[in-house]
Amino acid sequence: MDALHNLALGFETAGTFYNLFYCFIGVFLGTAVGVLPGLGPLATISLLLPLTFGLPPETSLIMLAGIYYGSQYGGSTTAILVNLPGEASSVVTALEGYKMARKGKAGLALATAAIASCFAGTISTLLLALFAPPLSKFAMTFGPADYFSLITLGLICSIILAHGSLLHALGMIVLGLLFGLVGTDVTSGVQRFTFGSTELFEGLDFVIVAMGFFGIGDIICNLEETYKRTALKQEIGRLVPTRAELKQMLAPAVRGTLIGSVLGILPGGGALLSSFASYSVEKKFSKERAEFGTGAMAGVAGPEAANNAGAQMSFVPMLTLGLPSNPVMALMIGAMIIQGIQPGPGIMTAQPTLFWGLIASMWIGNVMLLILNLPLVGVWARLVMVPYSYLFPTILLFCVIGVFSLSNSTFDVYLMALFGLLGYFLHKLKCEPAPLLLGFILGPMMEEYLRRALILSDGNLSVFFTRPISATLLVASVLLLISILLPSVRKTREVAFEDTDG
Amino acid sequence: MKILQSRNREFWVGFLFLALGGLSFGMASHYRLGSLKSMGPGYFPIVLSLILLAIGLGVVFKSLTTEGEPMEQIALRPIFFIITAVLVTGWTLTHLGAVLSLPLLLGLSALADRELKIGPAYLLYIVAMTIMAVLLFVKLLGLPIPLFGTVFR
Repeated sequence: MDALHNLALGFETAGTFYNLFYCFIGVFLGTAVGVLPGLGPLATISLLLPLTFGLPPETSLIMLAGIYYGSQYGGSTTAILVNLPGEASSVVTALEGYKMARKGKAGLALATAAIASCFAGTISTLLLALFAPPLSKFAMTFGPADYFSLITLGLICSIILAHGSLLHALGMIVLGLLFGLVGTDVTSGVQRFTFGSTELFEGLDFVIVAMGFFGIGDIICNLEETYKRTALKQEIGRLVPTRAELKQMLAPAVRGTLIGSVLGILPGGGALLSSFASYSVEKKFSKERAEFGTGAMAGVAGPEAANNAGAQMSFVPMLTLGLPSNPVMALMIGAMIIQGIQPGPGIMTAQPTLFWGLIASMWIGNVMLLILNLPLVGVWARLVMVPYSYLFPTILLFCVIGVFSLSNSTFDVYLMALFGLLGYFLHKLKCEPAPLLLGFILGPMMEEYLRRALILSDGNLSVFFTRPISATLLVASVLLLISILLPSVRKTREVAFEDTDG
Repeated sequence: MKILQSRNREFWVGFLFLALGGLSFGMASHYRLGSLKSMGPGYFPIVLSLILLAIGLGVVFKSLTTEGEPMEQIALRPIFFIITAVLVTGWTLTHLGAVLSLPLLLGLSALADRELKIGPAYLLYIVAMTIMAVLLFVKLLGLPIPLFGTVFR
């Protein structure tokens, strides 16, 4: 069993005291920051990124992965306790989880979320270990044209998850692609869109854009919406579920894990899509479907499992293809590049300890989350109540220090302010930032693969349709685009978002 | 001028796309275009700009033909103080150093929040937060942020 051997190597790497310690710190800090209202995984990872700069590559990635899971769990905690989902993927948890909390079952909802997440994490770690090597081998056969088409598919996928009009989302993608081109063109050495500023020669840093949008931009938005700040005091109630309750959450958790594992692998998929899908499935098929809307446990267990499995599986395209399927993975790639690692099909053979160590740490992180969170629920509940007036200056401070220390540059801080302003106005115009961020990180890759594909084909565009992989991916993109435009799908999408906006 | 009066949100989205698409088209047209066979630095950006302009036109067209929602109010106070706080800190971090610059950041940003009263509690928070940030980032993590800036040298 190759997978077992590889996992053993992974546990050897992740299991050293040093790595376990940083995994713990990551999970702990990730949860602590993720619990704070209004801070989703992307913001949390950006804020905590500077903490990993001084660590060796394996350790820093293990810690970042811990921060990611922690922040997701923290987001669910906030969603359940005060109905303030920090980001879109815990919106679904808030639907049923908050209702449970209102019925005095906050503790049970939190335990359900933790147990379902841990269950999903365990299964998807195994799946990851089984499927990553063959996928990575398959990825080796990808030519530039295939990569280009895969990126196209990923970008189209991101539209499904964006609120509002299709045209807005398309525009945001193209805008993101253009932002991604800022800096020196690798092939010709020409400076593009730099306005003559030397600081922009190396391009815009993803962390600056993300912190501008999700740090600064969000603060300005939150400050004008005062209603968001009133938090309710909540009785936590019984934590440990009974045997019957455990049995009740098993089926939704299994379904959620399967949904998350499949959807998480897709480019543009990941946690968000998975939890939405799982919620609709449970609403239709669960035994508890009559209780939906009044605090159904299946509505917490399913989406939480899907959310976690999706988050974990979205590491697959990132690690095997070097393509981020969502903004969080884009940030992880950014962090890897800072550490001098280039993700791609070669990483598994070139750096097996890093690769398998990261995968093993995912399981360790999930177990830690479970052990850590149940006893600490009281602490998290108190953190949720931190008044925003003290919270936002602290976030601002972390943003400024984080961006400044990327390359000790004052210019970067100014740039972040600019993107904060842009983020605020885009929010006001109801344009979602996620497609823009994905376009931003994929822009340079897309151009490079397009260029290479066309050099190889002697300028013949038909190459994208004659290669089977590429043709399949492009057909899938077109079908997806058409399906978004179909009235029936359009309606469901609107309803799905309306459901969760309330 | 129905558009400007109704302050249609859709119209401004289209306007933003058109403006940025136009700007990038203008800049990219100075880069060598090349051909499909060997794309120059201008090829991809030009294509993207044209797509963005087309989308922008589509959105503007839609905004003129359908009844859109009006723009929401823009909150000037948070924008002004948050952005000012970030810019001022950016400048003072190297010039004055973290010990003075961080309290400045926390103080200025507090002005953005109408509900926050800057009293003894907030001043205590500023002092505590500054000490914590210096200990965590500069002492513990060793990030090269100057405690005292160039003015003191």
